[in-house]
Amino acid sequence: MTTRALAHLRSNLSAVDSEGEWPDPFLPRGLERLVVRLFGRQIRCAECGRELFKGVPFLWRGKLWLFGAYEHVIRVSFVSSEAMEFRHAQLDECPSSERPWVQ
Amino acid sequence: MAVLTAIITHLEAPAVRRQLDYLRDLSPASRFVVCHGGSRAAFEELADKDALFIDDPSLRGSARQQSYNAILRAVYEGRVAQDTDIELVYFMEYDHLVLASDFERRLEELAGASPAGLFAKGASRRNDTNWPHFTRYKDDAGINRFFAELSCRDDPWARWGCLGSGMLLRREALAALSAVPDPPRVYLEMFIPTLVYHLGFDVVDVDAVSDLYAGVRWKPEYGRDEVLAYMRAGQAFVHPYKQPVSTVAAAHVGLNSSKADLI
Repeated sequence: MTTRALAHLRSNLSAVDSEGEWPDPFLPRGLERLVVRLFGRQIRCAECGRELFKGVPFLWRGKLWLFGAYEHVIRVSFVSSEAMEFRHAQLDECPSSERPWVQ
Repeated sequence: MAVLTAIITHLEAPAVRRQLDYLRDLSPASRFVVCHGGSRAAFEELADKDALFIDDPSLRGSARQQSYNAILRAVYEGRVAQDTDIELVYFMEYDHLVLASDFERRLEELAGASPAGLFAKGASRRNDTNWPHFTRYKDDAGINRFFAELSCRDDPWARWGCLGSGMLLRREALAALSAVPDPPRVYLEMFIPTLVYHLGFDVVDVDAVSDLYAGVRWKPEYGRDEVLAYMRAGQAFVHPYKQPVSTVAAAHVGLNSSKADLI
């Protein structure tokens, strides 16, 4: 990892403790790509079944992080007391019989 | 139902002139207005009667901070208020390419199917999403107060989002947006659909009702060959295409003449 990426990560770690805007994405992009390539799992749309993104779930400081989700706009909801599901937020990515024009 | 197309640009005068020439050739009866958010010098060099200078520094800064408040007001007060023929206003960015000469008819068809105030790419409620422009504003007390005081809805915390290019506004919705006193400067892709919704108008996702925006996306940028393929397929719009409009204009002429030959 480059010195610049380490500095970026250190700055984002301190930003999480501040009251300002959260760093988004949290990981430097190169590190995020590496983490996702090594540990990523397919997250699929609960409606159409297509892959939404490859992500790495990570629990830290009372939050469930999903590295790899940045730049993928997704809907999320709890479907049981312990399960969450994800869906496309962009309809042009989510084929349906109601939208025969979506490939 | 007359349409006014507003082109939002910061480009230098020769590039804007080429785009206007292309659009006027493509659809001579259409009405266009350039909203120039670039330098004053570029605007003055353009010297076109259908151009407005938008003096808003957010348009010359980071894309994440861009506000269209000044654009909406300038277009309404400068072009729409006094022209009662205009019923629809189409806002497109400089890299939003019109491919079909009957684009206004297609926009009118879209608007005819619903009384909504705004039709836009990917327009939807974003409260249950990871959309970064929802998450970065959700705890902003000033913005939350602004919407709570103004909203006529039961859910003043609703936040909407859409692609900023290709927003089709009904006249009444644009008038209502322009009449809001001192709106905060908030990123347009969250602010405009959210404000339209809280002012009492419906907001429609174009992708939910038609294939009109099959060639419109956030990114990646289109290449010339892809644009030509959409043109041949009869699509009306593509976005984003940042190459000079001349790279496809000639092909457009060729395509039209080959169609004429076929007829």
